[in-house]
Amino acid sequence: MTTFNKSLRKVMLLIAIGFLIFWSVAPIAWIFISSISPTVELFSRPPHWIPYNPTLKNYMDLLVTGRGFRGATVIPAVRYFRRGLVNSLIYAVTTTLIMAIFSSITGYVFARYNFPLKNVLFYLFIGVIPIPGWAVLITIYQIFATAGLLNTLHGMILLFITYRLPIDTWLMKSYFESIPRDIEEAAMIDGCSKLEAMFKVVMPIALPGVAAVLIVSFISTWNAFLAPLIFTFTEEAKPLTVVISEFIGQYYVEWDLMSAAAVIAIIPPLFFAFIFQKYLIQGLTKGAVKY
Amino acid sequence: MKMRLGNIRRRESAVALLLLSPAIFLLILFVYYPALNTLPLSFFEYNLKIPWRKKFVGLSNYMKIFVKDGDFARSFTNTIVFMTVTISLSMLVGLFFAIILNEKFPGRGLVRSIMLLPWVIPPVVNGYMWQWILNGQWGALNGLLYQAGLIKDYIVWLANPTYSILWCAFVQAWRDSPFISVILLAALQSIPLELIEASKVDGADAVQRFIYVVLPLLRPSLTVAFIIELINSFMAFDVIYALTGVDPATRTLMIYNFQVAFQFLEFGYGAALSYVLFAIGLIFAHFYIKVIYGGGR
Repeated sequence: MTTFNKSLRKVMLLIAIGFLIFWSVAPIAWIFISSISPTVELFSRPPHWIPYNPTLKNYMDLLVTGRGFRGATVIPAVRYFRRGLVNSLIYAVTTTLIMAIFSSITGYVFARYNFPLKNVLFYLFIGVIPIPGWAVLITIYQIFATAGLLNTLHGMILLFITYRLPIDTWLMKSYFESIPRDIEEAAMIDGCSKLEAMFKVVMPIALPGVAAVLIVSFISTWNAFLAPLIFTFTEEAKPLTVVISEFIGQYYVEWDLMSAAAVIAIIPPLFFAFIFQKYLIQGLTKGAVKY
Repeated sequence: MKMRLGNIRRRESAVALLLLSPAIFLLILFVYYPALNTLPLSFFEYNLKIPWRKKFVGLSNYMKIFVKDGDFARSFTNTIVFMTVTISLSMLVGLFFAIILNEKFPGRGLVRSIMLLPWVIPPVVNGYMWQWILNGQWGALNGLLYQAGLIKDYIVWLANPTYSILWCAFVQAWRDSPFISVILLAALQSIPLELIEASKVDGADAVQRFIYVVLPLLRPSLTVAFIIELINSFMAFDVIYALTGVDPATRTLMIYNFQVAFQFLEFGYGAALSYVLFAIGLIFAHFYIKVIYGGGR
């Protein structure tokens, strides 16, 4: 009886795992299959689950040869797409690197320094998290317009950094708090200043926390859509997410190009998530949940 | 000696504030100043297309929202439907996956990575991906249901006002559930094994163990996940925008505010709307801070 129960349990677990994998992978697998399907096969009923003649044409169209799409009378699609890809990389990499240093400092200050209004200032940081965008975005639009920051890379990066600050600071703060104080106190007795002690002694131990900041910041900046949708207008500053949204015309959608573009946009965050899974989970749980 | 200690303290405070000042500057410039500055704007009639006709109208923007604006009422209802479905579905799926991943089996690390996939990909791309899957002419879902003999004809899922809001909620839940799983999995792993063993000895079966032992211990984390998902689903934009654009049938408050401010360029009315959303957000923020600091109790 117990062995029967045990194997029944095993079978049920197996079915559940199978469901989990199908649920998470199937939609992404389908967009990938679509991206390597020739246009004729893409538009077939019922769908060709496995394309008879797989092709890389859609990728070539996007990255190398170029092909007309809705906006192509003005800008060739290929230049537009490649530029979006480069912009997204610039946004994600710059924001991520700046945040790694920036949030280490702010996190360390909140974890280790004593100063007046500390709690109030910390609330000032995390109070940002639940504010819905519009109340802020309407005025930022006016500030950006006055300061000439609309449709610029540096304007967007400033905004990305500001909105990463709360969670990344919080994350680093809780990471530093989990490191015993004796370590830097020993270094300070040896004549280091507090800040020197931080960089020389504490930072090496805090690297996993920095890794979590790197990965969470990269993914969230790469995925950003709402702010760039409002603040960028031309290829100079549009990230990939906004470029992709333009494959959707009012009457017609370029599903073949769209699916290839989607796959390209999915790859970097996917890659990082797989390599740094451990830090990602740490970043998620520590950044959003205190314990 | 006492003097020196005081000096050191003062120096420490000065260094701390100096180090924080760039961050505080950014937060004031791009968060708090804008948040306050939007308020006066909400008392004006101000359209960016005709900026010279800026006119003080007092509270009439707010009057319009609550009394006259049928689009607001509809968007409000849509938001409630969207949030209810998203939160319940993502919590259920998230809990289910957390329970699976808490079991020991070979390849668990890999399955855990796979579980994260929906959360990792850009939400707007996620929306387009599902729009393709749900496509009424060539979509994979239609193909699947057709081949399985469940439907006789392809269904245009996203053009049907009843289905479309449910699909938006479904896709949002598909994206959010991994995050909830991660939170709940951390909580499940911290449950002491002795407790489970003890309840086994007492003769509790798996279902009883779950309801009477595991669930009460999960409650703080479930609360945290609920609050986070409350905020997430309230602020959801990318997925809905990608799936159905500004279609009235799926237009939530976030989408409606975007449409008013950045498509109609009604900055005055948009500011008033955004302040109403802000007020709702503040209520959530209150719970958020309370729950996160209280450890979920």
